[in-house]
Amino acid sequence: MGVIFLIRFENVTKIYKGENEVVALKNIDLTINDGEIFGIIGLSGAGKSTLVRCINLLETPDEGRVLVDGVDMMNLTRRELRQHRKSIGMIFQHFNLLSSRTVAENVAFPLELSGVPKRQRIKKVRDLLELVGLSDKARAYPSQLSGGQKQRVGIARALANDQKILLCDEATSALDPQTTMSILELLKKINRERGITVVIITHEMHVIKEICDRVAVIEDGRIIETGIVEDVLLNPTTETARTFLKTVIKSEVPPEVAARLKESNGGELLQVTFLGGSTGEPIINEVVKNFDVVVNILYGNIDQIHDITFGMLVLKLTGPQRKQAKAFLEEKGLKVKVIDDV
Amino acid sequence: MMFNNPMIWNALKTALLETLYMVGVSTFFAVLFGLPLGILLTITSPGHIKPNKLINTVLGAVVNLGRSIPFIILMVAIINFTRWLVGTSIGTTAAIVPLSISATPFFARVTEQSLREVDKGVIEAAEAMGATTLQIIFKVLLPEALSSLVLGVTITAVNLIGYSAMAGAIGGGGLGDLAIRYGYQRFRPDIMIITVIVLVILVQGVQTVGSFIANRLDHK
Repeated sequence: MGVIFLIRFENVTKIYKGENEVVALKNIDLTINDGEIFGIIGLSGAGKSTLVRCINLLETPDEGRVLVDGVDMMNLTRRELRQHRKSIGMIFQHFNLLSSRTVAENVAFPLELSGVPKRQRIKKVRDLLELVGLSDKARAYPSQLSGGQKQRVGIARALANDQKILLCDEATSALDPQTTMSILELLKKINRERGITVVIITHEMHVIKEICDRVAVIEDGRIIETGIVEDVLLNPTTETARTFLKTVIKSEVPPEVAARLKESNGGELLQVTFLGGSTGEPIINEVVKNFDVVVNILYGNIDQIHDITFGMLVLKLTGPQRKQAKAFLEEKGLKVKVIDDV
Repeated sequence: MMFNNPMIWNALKTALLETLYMVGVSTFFAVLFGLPLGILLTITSPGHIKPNKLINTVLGAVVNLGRSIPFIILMVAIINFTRWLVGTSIGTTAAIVPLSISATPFFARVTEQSLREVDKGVIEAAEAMGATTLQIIFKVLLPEALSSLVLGVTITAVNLIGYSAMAGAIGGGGLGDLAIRYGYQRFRPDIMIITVIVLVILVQGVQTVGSFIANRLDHK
């Protein structure tokens, strides 16, 4: 048995009618697998919010089908749809907690909607608050919490009915970087421990890089690229993906460094990009040992996606065997670019 | 001279109780009928949870009509209806009928305004959780707007205190009646002034209590 899909878009189109007709989604085909963390990235207005809302039919597609756990969502009666929505949790950019309820009462809310008896509710809420690390805030009101704490309440609430799917609508966009990291860690933990499928929409590449298994890039209502995060990040085929990539991976020499490089005379400037396996070998050391060259590292940048390391170095080579050294680097699978004019 | 006249104090006490009775009962009916109207006006509006252009337009028109009739005219115009409903067209109980009818559309608009302030995102979250329309009304809209609704009830009650004084003009009793009969018609400015003072204290008191409760309910 292979991986089975959990959510599937088949030729989904959504058009907002009105004075100016807007095509929000155009012929979307997308499959999200059971148990994965799937990211959808796009600029604002690209249609990602609409796309995620088509999963629980907060937005109804004009064409195509949406299958969730084998069920065609658009064929359901209103009552059946409500029932299915209970198995899909959702968290939001602005948290959307009920301000009139305490933290515990907010988490209990979906359980109340499902008619779970009070005693069970209390136990469930206690467990969930422990899971998200807010046991001490049970009686606080949302207005007394920080943004990160509010999102933790949102997550606890979204898991109350033992949901199989968690939709995250720009869930970290209103949070500072540190809080974002802690929320992403929590999402990863929930995904791992509960096997819940997480769908994340965001405009921030680092969110994708941090926790997603697969990613789809959306632009003007179309999916323009999709695949495993490493592949899309390291070999982007579209300009939009490349633009997003630049926000997390600095593959260009910053202008201040470039200015300094121009002043340094003599030798040859090389920009060396490396990816994956080769980082384990002491390549620079070998270059110096095997060839009659002097290597000066002027600038460097190393990053990691999952367990793949990649990065870029700017080297200055001086000495007679520069050509051979360059060939050696290329032989080792590194991308070498001579930069006379940085 | 008036301060040692027990008759005047008794008259004042009776008038105050009559005003409280009229205002209290008509506020109750205004909320009883205005709240559901306000809820309907809100949820049937475009983009809300049960958009329905027909119901929304008709209700809106009825409410506007009710609000555009001057109270003094409404009071006279519905005399027959009042007599049919409560058996008399004069007195305190009779005054409650036009007061309630006049305050109902007002409170419906106040309710609508309060409910519209409830964050759209919170309503969407409840929909995403599979809430029914009734659950959204009773577990989201009303609790989230409660503080604002209490202020709305307060405004309605204060308005009714003013209107009830007008009702006094047609034999409705209450403080307004006292002020006109004694203060105006019998040339007793001292009674007029003390009545106005009581009204001022009453309005202040209602507003203070209303604001206090609203503050306690507000967790935003």
